[in-house]
Amino acid sequence: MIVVEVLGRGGRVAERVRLQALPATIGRAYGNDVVLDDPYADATHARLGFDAQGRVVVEDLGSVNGLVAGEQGPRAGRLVLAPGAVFRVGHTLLRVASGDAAPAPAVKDSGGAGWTRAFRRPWVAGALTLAGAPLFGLAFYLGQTDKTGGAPYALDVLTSAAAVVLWAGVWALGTRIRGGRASFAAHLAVAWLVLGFALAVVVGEDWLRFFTSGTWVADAAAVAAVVAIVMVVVDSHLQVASSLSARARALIGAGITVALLGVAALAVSGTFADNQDDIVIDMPLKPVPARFVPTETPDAFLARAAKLQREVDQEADEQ
Amino acid sequence: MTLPRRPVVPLALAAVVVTATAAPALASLLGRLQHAGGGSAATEGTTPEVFRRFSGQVVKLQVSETRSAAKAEVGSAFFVSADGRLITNYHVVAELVLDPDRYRAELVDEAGDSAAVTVLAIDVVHDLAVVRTRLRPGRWFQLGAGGRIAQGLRLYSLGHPLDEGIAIVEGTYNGNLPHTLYPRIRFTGALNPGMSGGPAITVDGRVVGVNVSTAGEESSYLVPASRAADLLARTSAPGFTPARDLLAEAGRQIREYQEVYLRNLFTDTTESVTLGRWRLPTQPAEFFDCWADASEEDDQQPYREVDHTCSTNDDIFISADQSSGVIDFEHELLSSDELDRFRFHAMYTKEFHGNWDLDDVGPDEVTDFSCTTGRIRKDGLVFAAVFCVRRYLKLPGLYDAVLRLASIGDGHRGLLTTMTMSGVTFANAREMARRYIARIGPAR
Repeated sequence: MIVVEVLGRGGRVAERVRLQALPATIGRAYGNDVVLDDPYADATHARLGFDAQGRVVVEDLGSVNGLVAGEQGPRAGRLVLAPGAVFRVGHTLLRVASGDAAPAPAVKDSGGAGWTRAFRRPWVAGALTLAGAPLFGLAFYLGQTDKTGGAPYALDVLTSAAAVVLWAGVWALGTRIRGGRASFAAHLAVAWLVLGFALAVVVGEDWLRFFTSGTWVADAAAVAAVVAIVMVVVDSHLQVASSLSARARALIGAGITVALLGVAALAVSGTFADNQDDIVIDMPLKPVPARFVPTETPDAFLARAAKLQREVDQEADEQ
Repeated sequence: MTLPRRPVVPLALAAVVVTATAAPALASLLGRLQHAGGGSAATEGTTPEVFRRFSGQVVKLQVSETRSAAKAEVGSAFFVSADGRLITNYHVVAELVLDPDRYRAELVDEAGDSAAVTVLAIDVVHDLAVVRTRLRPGRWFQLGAGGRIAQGLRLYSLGHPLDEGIAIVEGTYNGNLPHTLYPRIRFTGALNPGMSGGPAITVDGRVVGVNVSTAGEESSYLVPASRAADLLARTSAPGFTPARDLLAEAGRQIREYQEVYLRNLFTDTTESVTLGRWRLPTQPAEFFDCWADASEEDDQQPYREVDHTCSTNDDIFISADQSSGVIDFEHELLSSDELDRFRFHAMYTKEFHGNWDLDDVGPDEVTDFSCTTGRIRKDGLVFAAVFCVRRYLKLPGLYDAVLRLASIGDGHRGLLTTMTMSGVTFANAREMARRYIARIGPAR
């Protein structure tokens, strides 16, 4: 038994035709075994059969547009079809499968089953928006040190909210195009949640720098946080948008993370290339009572500074 | 943020200190040498007469890039010996010392003849140089007549201002600039760029000083002629050979100068000033100028600021972009009623990270800054601390360094203090930082 699969958009199977015996014909006319709805196909376009070795072959029956191996291959009068091979008739892609082949096991349905399931309820997105926007307003307010009044804060908050909505909209559009539902509310909820997480990371990292500056702790934490945020963003949006497995989502997230870290490393090396006249320090100041601040003696601090001479001497020697 | 510093622009001025009470023998010698041109009794002593008699002994000195022949520096110089030696400023020939393969120097005399010059000796600290040419002058100046000069004595400065041709500038002698580590004569007259290295003379042609810098208007400065005489004497000593590596010599002079300059800074006897609850160093030596300033909260600035700044004019010219031996420091007390403590600290962090007030230097002069940060405790006070250095590329062993401390734990109030050092050895930079921190404590 042979099965002919008519492929639709995105390579998904639109129709399966089970053929009890070969030869069989393919074409636009209703008398064919495989009937195509394709104006570029002839009435009787091609014939499937076996060759002397028992392989499945397809032959052109003198059609206008011919037979094509794969989607973009050369035109051929006759093609030998290996199992799973794709060929094109008119604008239609076809694949021949053996009816005896064992089907793959069923894929476990994770779409909507992960932690993002709760986000499919629109009121969750609404609630997160109402909570998230003022949080950003507060963050902007605490970072402002001049007398600018309320309007700039409101503008900052609205701009960020618009950016979040746009971000969720792009994901929703992608989800819709790929064939599923748009799931805008779920994407919006994910965006706010991840941004809240990112805000917490930024604030936390700033405080960590205050307490640990001069060590690698805050840098390591920052890199770890960026990795976590990107992984979570990719994983949660893909959960909403697709039924990819957790493993596939993690792989995609890891790929994007590596790419982003690479770009960030390039940007950082570019930024600090011209630092003769500028001093860049990463230590913030925080309102902490003096007794809670870990300190060293001035002599210990200046002893640590001895390494600076080696650093700049080495740089001078390289020039 | 920083208070305006009086800009002092190096010029080219040469001064011969000639005293009114010069030894009669020397006076007669000078008379013979310099009165050779003669002059009618009617015009003797007037500015045109001074110009007529002495301008021929002053030349234009220009430093050009060898390849492009582009002028890098134009200054003045004056003959001080029969064998073609001249005095000028170190800063006029600095490019030649820093980059001898890239630059060359030549002089152009009164007659328009030009000749190559070579640098024989430098005194970076006093901004002087002795150069030599193959030309043999008919007449030359004498340096270093001893004795006192009365304030108000009329002096005549000669040089090539702005490369527009030789000019004479009248002015008066006003004694030495107070509070400097090394002497500078105040010349009340308008010196302009290009006159650097020219002489400032008395009416009878005795050199009082070498034109060196101006603070604008009529405030100009001369290097005392006695310093030029010392340098010239070095080149006359038997067995003198020019230093093979002038750059290394410049580095050596700067390091030696530093030892003197830094020896007594920020020691136990340094005065203190109180800002808020902090006791801080001020006026570490006579040759520092200190100011205070304050600003209130207003519509633009939601915090108050009290500043205390000290700096020194005793810097050494290294190149157009760099000077050495400058130590500046600034204490800033910041406080606010309007900002809550989180917003205050956002502002305080910006202040801590910015406003470094550093020399703008190109990448072929210095390395990038390297910094270390930390938190220190001193007499119960806690500070965030940052210490940064960059190294000079051409002058080995010299660094720029910055120390900045920011108090922690005072709610809506903070004290920032910054010390900037230029052209110091690394050991001195750390030692100054150590002493500076040692002078900080709680107000009594």
